[in-house]
Amino acid sequence: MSEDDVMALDQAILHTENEFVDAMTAFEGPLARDLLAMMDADLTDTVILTASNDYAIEVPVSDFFDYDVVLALSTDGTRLSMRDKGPIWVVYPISDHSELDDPVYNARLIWQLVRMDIK
Amino acid sequence: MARRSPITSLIIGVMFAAAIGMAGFGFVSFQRDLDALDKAGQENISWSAMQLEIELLRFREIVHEYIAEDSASVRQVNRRFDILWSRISIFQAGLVGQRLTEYDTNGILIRLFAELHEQAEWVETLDTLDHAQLEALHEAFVPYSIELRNFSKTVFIGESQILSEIHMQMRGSANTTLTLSAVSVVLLLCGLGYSSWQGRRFKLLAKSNRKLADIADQASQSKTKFLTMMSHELRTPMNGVLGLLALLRQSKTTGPQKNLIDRAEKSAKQMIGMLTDILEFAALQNEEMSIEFHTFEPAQLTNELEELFLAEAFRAGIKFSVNTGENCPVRLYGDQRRLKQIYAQLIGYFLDLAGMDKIVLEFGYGNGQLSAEFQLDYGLSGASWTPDMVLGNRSDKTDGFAADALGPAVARGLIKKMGGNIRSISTKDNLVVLAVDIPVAKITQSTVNVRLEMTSEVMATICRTALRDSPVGFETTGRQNDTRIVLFETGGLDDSIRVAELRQGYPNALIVAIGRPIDAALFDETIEVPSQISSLVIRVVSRLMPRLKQLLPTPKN
Repeated sequence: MSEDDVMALDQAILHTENEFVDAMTAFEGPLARDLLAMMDADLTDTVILTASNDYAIEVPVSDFFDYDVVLALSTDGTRLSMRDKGPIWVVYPISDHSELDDPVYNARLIWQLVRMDIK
Repeated sequence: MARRSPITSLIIGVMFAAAIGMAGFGFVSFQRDLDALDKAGQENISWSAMQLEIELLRFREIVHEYIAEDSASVRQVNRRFDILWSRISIFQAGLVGQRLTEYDTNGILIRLFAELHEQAEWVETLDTLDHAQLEALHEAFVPYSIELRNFSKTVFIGESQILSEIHMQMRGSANTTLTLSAVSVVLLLCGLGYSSWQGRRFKLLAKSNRKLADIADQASQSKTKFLTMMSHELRTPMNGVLGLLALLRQSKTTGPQKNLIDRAEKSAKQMIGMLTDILEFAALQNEEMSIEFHTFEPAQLTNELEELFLAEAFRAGIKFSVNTGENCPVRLYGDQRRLKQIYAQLIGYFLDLAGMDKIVLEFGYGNGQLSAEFQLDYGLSGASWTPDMVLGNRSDKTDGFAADALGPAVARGLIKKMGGNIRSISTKDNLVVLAVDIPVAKITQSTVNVRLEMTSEVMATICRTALRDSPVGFETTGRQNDTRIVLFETGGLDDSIRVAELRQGYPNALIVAIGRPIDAALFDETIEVPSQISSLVIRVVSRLMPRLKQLLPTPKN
């Protein structure tokens, strides 16, 4: 899937804080579940998210349906560059769900996302 | 179950409060420790610090590969540079950045970030650099590796210390909570033990009290049984003696012999009276005496008392009279039998021992009480007797035997049982006045006067019994115009003359025949006597009640 394909999906705006930003930030990008739907992912599946530095993490697909997880392409209107966590930063709605304020979910805030594989 | 004393309740309350307080403290401590642990875990500081070192190494490696014309491309070098840049730049924002900066006492992150800025142009134009420049690029980052290693180490040690402190804090909290829990358990056990001990103590006390009460009750019952048995046993031979004396009296006796017989008879009767009083007294003591309420006429009570004591008073040379005052109601509601008992005990005592010339008993009524005023007139001789024994006052001046006190004691017991009192009104030289006041209800309900024209006392008694609880007053004073029913016992003979007399004498009354009259037409109602005489009571009530309801006057407001 190309960047254009991703940009062509419906873009959502998520306002949230996390441990890598100073204040409430607007993260723009498609919802992760929309992308997974295109990949025919099942709720029982696991998706492997890989970053450009080869850091990889397994995330249950159910996360993306339980929460409005955004594949952020820009923050506060500014496109994310490689030097600034781009091209895609996986962002959870931590401010909306207190249970997400946890090391388990913090480890899933993977940036420089370059690959998603369904397991 | 016995109520706890205030002190016991306070102790138990304090113990429970302490236990709850300690549990609360333990909970708060654990919650605080968990929050600290959570916070420590959230910030992936060690991981982020190590990532800096790893990405710098990777960047240097790929630059080295590029210089060695191995496998790395410009694009790959730039990618690694961007990754390194993104890793270093996280110190600029967020909680992770803040924590990393706190550890960066040497400013390695700022310097490295500045170096990245400086080298960015060269990295972006990598393919234009010569070998020396490439080497210089590679060398520029070498010193930072060692510093980043030390930085990682510092972060790792720092984070380990924090975790260690949290662990120690948790251990301390756990120990404190454990100690407090143990103390609270001990307190609770002490509280339970104390409560249990108190409970057992009260149980033992209650058991002991019950035993004592049972013993006292048994003793009282034994005493009563003994008294009852002895009284019955003694009365039987005494009645036998009286019978023999009566027989002896019928035979020829001389004057002195008759005197002896009289005195023996009197002694025997006194003995029997005393035994009866003992039984009455025992019944009072054991609260076995019941009070029954019926309608009665003070006038009848007066007549009965006069009949009982007139002869005895005459023999003793004492003038005796019983009257009802003007304010005394015609009918009252109370226990006539017990009232008669009270007055009889007192009159008997006065006649025996008081030594007066004259006794006048006058009944009055006021404030819901029947008042019986005893006027003991000593004439010119003056009173040498005091009513202490009657009033229940102990006095050394009284020289009566213990037996003398029994009659007044029974009277006082009955008066008290009926809610009344006995008092001295006057004790002048020649006149002693005592009053007995007993609560008795006045009959305000309208009643129907009934006249009994019976030839047999049995029939009269049956009629009285039947109408005992009805709104009926039995006319005995000759108020003929008020009489509304005459109950006439037919004798199977011609009753016409007598009925005519009754019609004339009681013009407003219904004449009701009890029995089977020869001419039923003479009567307004006939009540036949059933074969079982006891059923007559029911028959009288059922036949007369409708008549009574018709005859009862309308209550006035």
